[in-house]
Amino acid sequence: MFSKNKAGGGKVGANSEGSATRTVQKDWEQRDFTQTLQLGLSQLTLFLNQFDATTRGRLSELNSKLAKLERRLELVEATLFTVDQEPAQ
Amino acid sequence: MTESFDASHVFSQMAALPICLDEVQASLQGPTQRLHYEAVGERNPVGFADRNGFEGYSLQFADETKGLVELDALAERGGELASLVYTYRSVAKALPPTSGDEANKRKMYSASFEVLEPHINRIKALLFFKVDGIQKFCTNLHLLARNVVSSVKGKEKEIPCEALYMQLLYTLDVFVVLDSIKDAKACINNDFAFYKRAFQLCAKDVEKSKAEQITNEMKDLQPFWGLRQVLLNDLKREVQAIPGFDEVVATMASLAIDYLDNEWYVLPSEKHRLIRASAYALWLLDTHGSDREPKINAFKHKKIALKNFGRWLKRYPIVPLYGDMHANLQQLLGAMPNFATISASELFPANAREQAKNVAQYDVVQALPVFRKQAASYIAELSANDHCCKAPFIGSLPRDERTAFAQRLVDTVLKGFRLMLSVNSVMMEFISFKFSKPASDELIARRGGSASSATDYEKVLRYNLGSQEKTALVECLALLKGVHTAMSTIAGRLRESELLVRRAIHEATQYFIHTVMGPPTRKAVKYDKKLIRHQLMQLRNMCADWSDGVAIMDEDRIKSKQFKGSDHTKDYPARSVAPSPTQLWLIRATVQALCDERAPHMKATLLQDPDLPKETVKDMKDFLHKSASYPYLLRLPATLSSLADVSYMWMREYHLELCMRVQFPVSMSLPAILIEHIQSQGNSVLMPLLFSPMETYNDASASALRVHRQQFLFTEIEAELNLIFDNVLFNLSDQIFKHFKTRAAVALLQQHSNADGENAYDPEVRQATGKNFFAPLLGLRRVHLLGRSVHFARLLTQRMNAKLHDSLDLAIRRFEARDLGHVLELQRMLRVCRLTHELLSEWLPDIDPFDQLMTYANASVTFLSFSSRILEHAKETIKLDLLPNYAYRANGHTFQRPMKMPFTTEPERDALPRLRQHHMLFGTKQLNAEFQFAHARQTQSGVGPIHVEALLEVLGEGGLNGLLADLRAHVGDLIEFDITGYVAAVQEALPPNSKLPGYEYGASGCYLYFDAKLKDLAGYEELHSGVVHNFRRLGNAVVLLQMLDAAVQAQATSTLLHLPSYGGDHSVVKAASMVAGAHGESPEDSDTVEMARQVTSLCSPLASNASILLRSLVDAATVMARVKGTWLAGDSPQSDLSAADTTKAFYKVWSAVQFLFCTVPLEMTNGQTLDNVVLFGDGVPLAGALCLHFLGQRHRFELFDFAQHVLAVFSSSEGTSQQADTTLREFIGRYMTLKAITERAHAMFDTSHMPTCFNVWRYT
Repeated sequence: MFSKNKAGGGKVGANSEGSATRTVQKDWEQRDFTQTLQLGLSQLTLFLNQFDATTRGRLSELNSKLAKLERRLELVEATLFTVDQEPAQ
Repeated sequence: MTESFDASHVFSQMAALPICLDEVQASLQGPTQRLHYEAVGERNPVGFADRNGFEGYSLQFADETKGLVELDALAERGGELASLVYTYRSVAKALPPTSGDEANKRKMYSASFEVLEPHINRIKALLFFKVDGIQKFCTNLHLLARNVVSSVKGKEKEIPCEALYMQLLYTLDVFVVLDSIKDAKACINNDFAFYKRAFQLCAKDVEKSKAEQITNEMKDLQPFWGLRQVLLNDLKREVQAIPGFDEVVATMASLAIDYLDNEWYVLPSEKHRLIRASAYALWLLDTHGSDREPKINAFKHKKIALKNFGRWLKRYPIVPLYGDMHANLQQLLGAMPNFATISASELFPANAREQAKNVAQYDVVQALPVFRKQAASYIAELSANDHCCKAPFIGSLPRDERTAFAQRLVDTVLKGFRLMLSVNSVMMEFISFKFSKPASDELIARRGGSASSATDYEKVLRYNLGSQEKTALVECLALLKGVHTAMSTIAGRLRESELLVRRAIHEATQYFIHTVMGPPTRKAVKYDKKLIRHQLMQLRNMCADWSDGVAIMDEDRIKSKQFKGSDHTKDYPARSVAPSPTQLWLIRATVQALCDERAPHMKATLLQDPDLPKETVKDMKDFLHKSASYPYLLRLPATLSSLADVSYMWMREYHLELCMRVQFPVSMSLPAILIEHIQSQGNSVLMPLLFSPMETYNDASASALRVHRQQFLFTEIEAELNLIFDNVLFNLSDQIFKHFKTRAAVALLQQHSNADGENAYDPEVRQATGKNFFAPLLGLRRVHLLGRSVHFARLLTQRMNAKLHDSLDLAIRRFEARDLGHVLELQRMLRVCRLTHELLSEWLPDIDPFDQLMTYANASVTFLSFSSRILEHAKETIKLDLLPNYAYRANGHTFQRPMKMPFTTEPERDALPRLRQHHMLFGTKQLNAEFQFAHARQTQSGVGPIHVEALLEVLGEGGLNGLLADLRAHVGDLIEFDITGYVAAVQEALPPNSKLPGYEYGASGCYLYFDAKLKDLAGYEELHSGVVHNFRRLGNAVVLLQMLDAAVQAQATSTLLHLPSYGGDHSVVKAASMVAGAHGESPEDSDTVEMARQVTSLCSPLASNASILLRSLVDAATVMARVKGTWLAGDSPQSDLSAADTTKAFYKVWSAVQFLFCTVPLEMTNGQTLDNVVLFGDGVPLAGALCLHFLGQRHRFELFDFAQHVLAVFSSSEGTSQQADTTLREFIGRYMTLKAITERAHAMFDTSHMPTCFNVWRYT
């Protein structure tokens, strides 16, 4: 995060104070960059969390609909099963 | 690298993904995250090592940072140990008692030693921590004390580092917490004693060197576990040996109060830590005094402003400590050596008025209204900000506007922090207060407990909370979680909000450095103010950011006039980056040192103002105040989670130890108490908050896994939650079902009885007909519990399906257990169930269709057979009960149940099912009674057309057909077998000659003549039980068919009225024609239109001339045609009347039966006689008329009927003859009734063109 190698060599920074200041400014810039990555990761986590929540919500809806259809099919199956049986004597 | 990488397009691509990530449900719970990512940690990640990178700071603050890092690590370790000791459960209790011979005992001790050793070793770390901690604490305190001592001696004056003071204060608190937990946990002491004993008895088995080591350690451990407050006492002893300690400790205590006054805390735990630490710092300061050391009175120390302490301690004599533990500061300070030197009222609520005020201050009920108001306005403010955050233009705003918006956002977030802090700390303090004040015996008894059997935990919690307090706790909890959720939507929009927060922090820091500190720095450099010049330049160089085009300004440039005149607000770029943790700490430490009032440059002299002007100092203090919250803002999600953490509501290790229990039952658990309270309120405002107390389990489980790292705690929480959730679901589904059923029942009852006004009903009904508070819960698709997603809606749907099924089943079972009159109850119950289903399916769309539920309950799954439970019972009850046992009353058009006779037994039925819950019928007890009353009113007069209409409704079309087929077959059987046999029997018993006597005999003579002729037949034992009874069955069947016919006609007419007027096409046909037209087909050629026509004709009601009765009687006539030989006995319609006197044709039979019906009442075994009309009703003459009509003998009957003859003679002689006797008059009266019914029946048969056995072939 803090690179001493990049310090110094600026237009103004001939003396030690200037070089330190230049380093600090460089540090601000570099942290700007690292922070972008950091926020990117946060954003990714957030996206995954939201995606998870929404997908789960939608899947649960689908699941309920399927369960309802299943129950309906069970009834139809049971009804049709009575057709195949021999009529009671 | 920075230039080549542009992240913005990645985010824009992400945002453009064709996925909608919006929540599909409203949020009633706090936010949950499956993935956790924390970019910024709580502690300084590099231990301030990067301070060397800043010019001039490699030497400055060197000792302080070292101390800070050291103490910080100590606090972390202390926290781990506190958690370890707090969650320690006795191991020795679970070990079996030793038994058997010596060898076995030794073996058992050896095994016990092996089991206990790792646990004791872990706990032993506390002893090492004590030694290490006290040493580090004293070293750092010494560092500060040295500085104080040197400044007293007038040597170089250095401004002490405030952060180190605070860190020492926090470390002191770690000792306080550890000591309190250690003293509370007696089980550790027991375990240690057991361990020691086990070791002594199996020492020979342990390796020698290890045994020696253990023996040595035990010597140290023995007093450590045995003594109370050992950590703090040792610390006090060591600290008091340091010269000048009093100044440092007093400053520490005062600083704690300063922090509290300035509100430099964000989390509730920090607030409580400051209060605790301020009191314990006083305790640390106060000494008895001895020969070697002077006496120090903490309360009268020059640096202690007792008034300020009093303000906080009076308000908080009890503060939360750790988990379910609390600290009693009043007790602590009261026991201090010099407490007697001051008045107790200076620090604590002394009189009754102050104590009452203090109790009120802890009361969550009184705090709630303010919180409600604050939260409402805050959420409004937040959503306005959130709305702006989402706006697309926010990224492209001009610099100033964007900055201003960012600053506004930060202010809003800070306000939210403050709100959450106050709500959560009030709840924490309230619970701690309750823990410290157990309920009185009287209160326990009033709340349904027993003082003798209640555990300590119940005394402080379960019986200590009133209804209002529980309500307030629930609301506070919901409010806290609600604000958390609202704020995390802000945090959730990371890219915008985090950037804006960082932008605001960057702006505030740079504005401070460039604009606020710029002029004083220039002055200091230009006029060479030695005292501050260096520090100011250092500050500037350390954190100033510069725009690309602006040259970095060193000392020479600062001195220039150009600098003085120009504006510096744009010298730095509009960056969204916060200072690094070390940088922020250094800025704050430097600024604090600069504006410290003890510093020489702050002192004004007569000739000279201080080096830093007053306005600048004010701005600096303002910056210090604001920047205290930056670390929290930078870790926004983590801060919010800590603020909303309510795990303490579940934690109970201290009370488990106190009550010597392994675990408490669910009924004692605070979240369970709150949930039960919500559910006991029914459909009330609290209902939508049902899931708020469950958040406690989420927080507690997170704390068990992440803070305490104890699996057993998590397992216990999981088990409790499983139980609670099942319970909640069970009760909730009951309540929801009851609510909707009551709504449905009330709607139907109002429809029926025109009752109005909710006041007419019971409170339960009033609650059900009001606002539906279950709606938010029903809108939930899923809930988050312990990191899992539970499909809540599906579970509710399952239960509602089951309940509807049970309800329908109960309705049918109740019908099956009773007679046909109760079909009305069945009809209403089915209607109520249907309406309940309709209301429920608005909220739970995946509930099974009503017809499907009905099919299952009614057992009508079989394909096209139309058999069902209702139909089976209807058939059975009609054939075995209504037809044989009821008497039809023509004047009321109803069937009534007459007195029981030996040949009329009611069929055996199942017992009436027991009603377990009132809502399985009509919702509430009172509604059930109302409906019962209505049924009783309508059923008391017997079974009539309304019952038949209800029967038609519950059977449906398929069922009706089934019933009719059965009824037709039954009528056929009756005629062919039962009645034909009796007709033949009567024919045999008829007198050989039944010539009508002449008029000259008079009415009485004729009557007596027939009476004598029919004497034999009157003695026929089956006359009533066989002959009349079976004619009654036939007659009743005809009446029932007539009623069914009328009901179907009424229904058909109502359907007809809903159809388009005659001549027009049905709307379905019209729609089909339009569809066909759109495809270019003419309606005549289109299959669609043809199918639509077929469908509508299939669904159309019966034609108005179609009759159920006719159809059934055609069948009956067909049967009669088969047996007519017996009935006619050779007397065909073609034959003349020559054999009229001797024939045994049916008209003679009926004539005899009718005569006997009027003259021979049924004799009971007790000698009592019963009138035939009362017993058998008007079905008998109706059946006779029908048979006569079928056989075409109506007119012969009218000519030769015995009774008719008597009537004719009576009528002709009435005017002239003397008074007739009573018997005759009675006979005439009875016969007239029968005659009227017979004539009416004949008229009906004629008008509806009923067939006879001779023309029935035309109808088939």
